[in-house]
Amino acid sequence: MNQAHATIRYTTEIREDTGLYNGKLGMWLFLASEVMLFGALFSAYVFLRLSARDGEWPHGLLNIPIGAFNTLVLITSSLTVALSWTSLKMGDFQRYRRFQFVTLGCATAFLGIKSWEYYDKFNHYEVWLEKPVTAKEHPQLAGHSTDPDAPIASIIGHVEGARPFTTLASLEEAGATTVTIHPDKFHYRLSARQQAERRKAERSGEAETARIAAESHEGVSFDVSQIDRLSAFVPRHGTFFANYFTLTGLHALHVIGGILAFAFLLWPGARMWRDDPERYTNRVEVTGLFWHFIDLVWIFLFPILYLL
Amino acid sequence: MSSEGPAHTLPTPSAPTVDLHHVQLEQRRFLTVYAVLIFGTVLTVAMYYVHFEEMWQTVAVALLIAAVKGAFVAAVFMHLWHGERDVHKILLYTGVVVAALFGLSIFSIFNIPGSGHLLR
Repeated sequence: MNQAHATIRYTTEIREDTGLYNGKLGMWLFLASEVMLFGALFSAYVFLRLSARDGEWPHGLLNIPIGAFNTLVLITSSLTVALSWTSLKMGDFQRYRRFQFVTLGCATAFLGIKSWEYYDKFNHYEVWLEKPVTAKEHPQLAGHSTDPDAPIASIIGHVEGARPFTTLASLEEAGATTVTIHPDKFHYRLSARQQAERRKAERSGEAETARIAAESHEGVSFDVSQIDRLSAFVPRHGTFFANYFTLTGLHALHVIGGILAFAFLLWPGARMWRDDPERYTNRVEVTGLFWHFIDLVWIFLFPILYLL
Repeated sequence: MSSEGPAHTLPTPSAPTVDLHHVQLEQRRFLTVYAVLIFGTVLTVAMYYVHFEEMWQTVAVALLIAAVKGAFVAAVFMHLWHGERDVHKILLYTGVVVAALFGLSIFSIFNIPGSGHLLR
């Protein structure tokens, strides 16, 4: 093998036929495949959402302020990636490093917040009853319906003694004869609009039922035989959470991949800056393209999962 | 392989041609887009709490804002605005596939009775 063949070409110089250096072409082809991967999952989600009957799709199970904050964290990391690249263009490696430290900080914060959200979901339960009850019978459930006589088929809240992924079978195995639930103030079968109105009424102290629910920290107990099924907010809970964990989980894997790539460029891969600064700058550019793509996916995930 | 004259000749390695003014202009553009993205996020959340008469209106506006935000990220952060022709071509083909995928969701109107109400 002669020396000319051992040299990788088009790492910095533009190829005439494509008008790109090879790294960039490769990254764009990869991103095209990523668009189709996420596109398939998004379209599956939209399909399932459109197929849901009225009132069956959960509202208000995700924490919107937390999700919005995480959006800002990821957008900020996208900016620092872009600025780190311009720093290299100006030949300022130290400035590049400072921006990339912020990027890694934001990326880690994003994953930390997401983990906290996951943990919160793992400990939140829905309990489906064999026979519906009413808020009249159990005042603690006032937040679950707008009408005290309306049947309530399932209760959401925290289950005493349950750990993540507890099932009815595992509770029975552990010798439980009753299940005590500390109900949430709102049930997802109330529309987002109803929930917002009740929150407002609750704040101004107008709504009697909502006030009772808010003040009641008592649990409501049921015999095991009265319960049909119970599940934490994990994929087995239903369609919504199965989609939520698939989409956010895949996205989080991409964030981890981005962190590894940036960390490589920042530490072991940084030697290239001395030997071939232009090639190094291009590596940062294409990794940045990947990172902006992750940001782009989240920009769509946030409204679709948290607001739809 | 045929030898069609000299292959792509390796250009002499040029020193990074830094057009400082150009880079600074780019940085200002990044900061502007950042401000737009922050504004879009705040608007999305604020709108959700104010919300319109109908749920679908809220969702439509939220998705519209997301699309605008996404367009800014793609155009400026990912340099598609001044991007290379071949990248645009790749993305055009990709867009066709993705549009087809989303088109499939129209079939939800044939799903379980009483479903697909958002499309009617």
